[in-house]
Amino acid sequence: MNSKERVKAAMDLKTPDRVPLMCQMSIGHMLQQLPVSPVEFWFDGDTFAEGLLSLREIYGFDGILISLHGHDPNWRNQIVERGNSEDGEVVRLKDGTTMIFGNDDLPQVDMQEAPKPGLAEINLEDLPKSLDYIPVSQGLHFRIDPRNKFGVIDTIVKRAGKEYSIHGEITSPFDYFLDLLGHQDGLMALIDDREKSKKILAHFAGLIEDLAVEMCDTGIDAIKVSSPFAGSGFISPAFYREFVAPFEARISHSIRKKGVHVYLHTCGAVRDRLELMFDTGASGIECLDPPPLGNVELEEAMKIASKKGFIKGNVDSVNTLLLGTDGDITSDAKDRIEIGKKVGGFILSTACSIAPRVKREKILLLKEAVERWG
Amino acid sequence: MGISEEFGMLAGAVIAGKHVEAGDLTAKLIDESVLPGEILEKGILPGMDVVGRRFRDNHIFLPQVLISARAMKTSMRILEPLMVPIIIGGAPINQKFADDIGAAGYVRNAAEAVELITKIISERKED
Repeated sequence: MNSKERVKAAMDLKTPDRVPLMCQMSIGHMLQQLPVSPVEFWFDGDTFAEGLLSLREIYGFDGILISLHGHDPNWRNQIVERGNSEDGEVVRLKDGTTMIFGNDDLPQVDMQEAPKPGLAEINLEDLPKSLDYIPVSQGLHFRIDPRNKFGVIDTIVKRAGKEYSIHGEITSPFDYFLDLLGHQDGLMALIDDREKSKKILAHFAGLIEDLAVEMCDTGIDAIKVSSPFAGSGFISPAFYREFVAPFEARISHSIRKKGVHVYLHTCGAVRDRLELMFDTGASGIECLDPPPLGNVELEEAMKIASKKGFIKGNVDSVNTLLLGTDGDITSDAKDRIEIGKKVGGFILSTACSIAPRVKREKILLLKEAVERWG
Repeated sequence: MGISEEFGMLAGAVIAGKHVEAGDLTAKLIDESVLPGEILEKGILPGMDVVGRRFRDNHIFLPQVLISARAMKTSMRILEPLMVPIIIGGAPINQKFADDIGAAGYVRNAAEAVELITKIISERKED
């Protein structure tokens, strides 16, 4: 089996020749490992693609997650000024936004942001008609160039798509909703006006569904749905059922109809909603933070997942990879491989993204582990 | 309706995150000459205490905590201008000590205390 076939077998709940290894990496980690300018890595599709390809090779991963897409080929025209500060390179954009690019994190945005609208002020007719941004974190959007929505995916599929599993990424309707209203007001809106909240969520679900279906035609093997705020650190299982699951289900079904796998990524404590997550029709679940960051024990999760979908994750990027000894990492990986191998449908991965300061040799221990025990 | 029942209703409004009701009940208690500190101690804080325990035990989640906090803030906006500031005084201490511990002011005697409190309350009402 090559890497692509290996990951596919796991996602199809069949038995691969060994447990596949595929971690998602934080932007900060990639910047730490690559000899690139953080500004170029953020804006330039070719630099981003080269970085992902090069890190896959370094780490021996069986696949590549393309976490951003829609790079503007003429991004340099958007920049009016570049300078330096002690926090990193400072870039001022035509729209007045100032961004500071350190080499171990996402860019920081210093913008005169318009106040977020209250729920009552939102007119459903005025919601965007197409998605031209990815809400990366609070205040930080990645603009999707409509003329080059999937250029970076095309490049990577062309260069590595025959041999490796290539995954795209979209963001959950719940994230777009919280981004629209602000996180605090967005969470209160779920109680203040449930029906209007659901209408907004449905609107975003439609737009994301269109984007995802289009993404399926690029030749990718799977799409990750990033939904970091749907865990029990934020909302109850009942709210998950009402405000998250139906909208992620709609997207999952459309992606599956295209013959592409789809998996949900929700951080933190999700033990109480694993079944609900699988009930969305997603073909897998990613992350599954173990204690202390989350509350998912792999053995229990594999039982719940049995025959429903695959699991990707469960290695603690901070407490194991960043702070643990080599012995901790190897033993953690071995335990997970043995549990995952028994049931099948398991991809070894960090739960959340590889943290910025995790050393390269620590990640290579995961590769050794899958080769030895996988 | 007795005062203790009204405190219970205020606590209930905070727990349920009903901010308009919490504001109305707070204003009513003030109209009934209940001291702001008593409203805080017997109505608002017991409500938030329940919210904190329910959150700790995973019976409620962030959205419910946030609407309760909003209800508490609504009440506090009414109470704050009326809360009696902490001032200190007497021979063994001075203005510098008052500043160091974050007191609202320093006075030398009871008469100055009354004068200073009146001034602070009227300034807060103007704000």
